[in-house]
Amino acid sequence: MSLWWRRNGIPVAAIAILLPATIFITFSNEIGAYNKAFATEPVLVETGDTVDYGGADWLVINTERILAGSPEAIESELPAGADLIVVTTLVTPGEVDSDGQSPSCAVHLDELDGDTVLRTFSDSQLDGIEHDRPPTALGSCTKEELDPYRLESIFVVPADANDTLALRLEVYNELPRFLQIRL
Amino acid sequence: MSPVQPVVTSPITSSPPAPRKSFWQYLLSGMLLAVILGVTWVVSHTSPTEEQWQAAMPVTGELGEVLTGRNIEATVHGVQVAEEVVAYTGWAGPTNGVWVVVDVSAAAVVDDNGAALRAAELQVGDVIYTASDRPDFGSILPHGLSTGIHLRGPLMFEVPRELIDSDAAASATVRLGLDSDTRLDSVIEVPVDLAGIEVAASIETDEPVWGNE
Repeated sequence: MSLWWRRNGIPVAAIAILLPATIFITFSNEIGAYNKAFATEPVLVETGDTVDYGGADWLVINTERILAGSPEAIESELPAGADLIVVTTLVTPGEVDSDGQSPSCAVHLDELDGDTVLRTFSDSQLDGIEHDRPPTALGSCTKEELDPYRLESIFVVPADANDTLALRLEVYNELPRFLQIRL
Repeated sequence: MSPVQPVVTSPITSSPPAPRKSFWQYLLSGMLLAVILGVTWVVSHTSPTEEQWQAAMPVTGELGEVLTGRNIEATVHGVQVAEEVVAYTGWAGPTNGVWVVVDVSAAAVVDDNGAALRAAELQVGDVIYTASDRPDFGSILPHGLSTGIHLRGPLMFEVPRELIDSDAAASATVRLGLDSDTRLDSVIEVPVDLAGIEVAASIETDEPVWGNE
């Protein structure tokens, strides 16, 4: 070992350890903070299972797919080449926040290939879709609703979307965890 | 008076003198330095600039071609130029210039959460015009996009009349993207020849429609 290394070995080793460690810690902190703002940690739920999440119990009780070209599709005035998927979820609020309100949520539909999400569809806001929602069902999570209620979500998807689907349910305060309920 | 104490000095210690470097060692060091400087110069002159590594990723095609980017799929079906436009809503747009009406269909590819045509531009020469929001729902601009289901309808650009007669009009570009800040994402680009289009007195546009043909 040369004289130079005997004199400078410890500082060089310290730099070699501390520099990567600093980069790693800074990077992981930044990525962690970024990820917390998005739904990045799915909680997989099988069909028919009730799950406690975000201060409520969630259970998908019915899924219906109306195929393009069918009489129901024509009646619903669906766009050409599109199916309508209707998902009904029983929501049982359990906890209320400091304002006495039940959890709000965002609902999407994931098209899957195994565990891989191929496409995501938002709860439909397409113009001109004629869909009669039962009077007992709500179209979105409602903070004022403290009793169990039915949440009916409609998704307009291209007819080539496969049948491996999951309801994606997000409660803001629970991010990055979100529910992925297999349909 | 105390007797004088003898001063004891320690022998001076010194490390052995470093061996003198040979000419070849100096030459090697010099060459190494020259190589490092050369590599640094090459890296600094070939690395992408900030503007380049943040640039949009253009997907370029022709009129009528389905163009697919990361999360946008679009087709520019045709372009018209008119002195007046009447949308299906009944809106009629008076202008001192002319309207360039672009017939577009667009959809999100993988996720429609918040997807919309926030970048809808017509570039003529160095000048970029954004699609007019004056027609409101008479154009597809205020509509969101849906995953896999195309929305077809018009985009209207209000441009100076003399622009259509300029040399640059022959090589205009329609540019479509999901964000007004187009950096680091796909942008659909379709060259159009505005100079070859006859200016109509008035045209009526259809209601935007959803669906896959």
